[in-house]
Amino acid sequence: MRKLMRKTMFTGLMLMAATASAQQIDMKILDKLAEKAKGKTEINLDSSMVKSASDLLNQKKGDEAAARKSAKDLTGLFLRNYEFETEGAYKREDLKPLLDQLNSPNWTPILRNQEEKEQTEIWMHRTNGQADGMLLVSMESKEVTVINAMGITNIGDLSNVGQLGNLEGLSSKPPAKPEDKKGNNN
Amino acid sequence: MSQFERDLRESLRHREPPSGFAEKVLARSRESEARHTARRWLVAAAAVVLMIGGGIFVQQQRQQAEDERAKEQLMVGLRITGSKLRNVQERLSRIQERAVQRQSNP
Repeated sequence: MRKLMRKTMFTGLMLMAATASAQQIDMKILDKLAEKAKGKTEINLDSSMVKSASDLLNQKKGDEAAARKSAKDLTGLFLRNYEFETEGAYKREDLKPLLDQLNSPNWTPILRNQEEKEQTEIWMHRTNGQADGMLLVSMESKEVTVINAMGITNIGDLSNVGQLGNLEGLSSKPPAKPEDKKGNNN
Repeated sequence: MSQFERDLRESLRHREPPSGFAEKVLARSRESEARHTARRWLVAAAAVVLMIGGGIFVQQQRQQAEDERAKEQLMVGLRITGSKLRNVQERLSRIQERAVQRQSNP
């Protein structure tokens, strides 16, 4: 009986670990971009760091209270933001290895927007049909941003800091074919 | 022999120590040694306590600094995320507006 319980617990833990690692995207691929960037912001916060950071947020301070609310379900935040001096300092193909990691049934693109020199993609990670992570990739002419927010069930959770409204329902929608809105949306 | 010499001789004359003198000296020496040992132990214990306390304090300070840094990173991360999502929202709003305009002016 004990053995069975141990096995069940072990399997459960392994599954949890596998789910967490599946949500997390390997950002080391972007190190090459970092070398070319003139400015960069890199954030790596795992669940324990998010928790201890959230605990320090002051509920009486407006922005910190909002951030605390946003980070309620957050179990990890990994961010890369690179700014380049000139246009063409990076190619979109440079991000292909990163986007290739999303070729799993758990990742669903929920938004793909391309306008002129900008392209933004938002992907949701689902476990058993339940959204539990988000990846945002923003490629601008002189800037690249990749955000992997784990534990996020709804993009609206992040609205507390960004003051969003219309994106509230995005992740609660069932997975659908990505909306590909090309630059000439007229 | 002058008075001075007599006094000097008297002063330097061999005298027997009182009985039990050696035992008393040895006992005092043992007491003093015990006190020194106890004091040494006390100093060592205080040093250990100080070291442990200092270690805990430094660890706490380091942890606090790490938590503060994590908090700053979280704030920056959430701000950037919010800003990027706001950009997407604005673009979607523009697309929506254009679609509405197209419908009203076919």
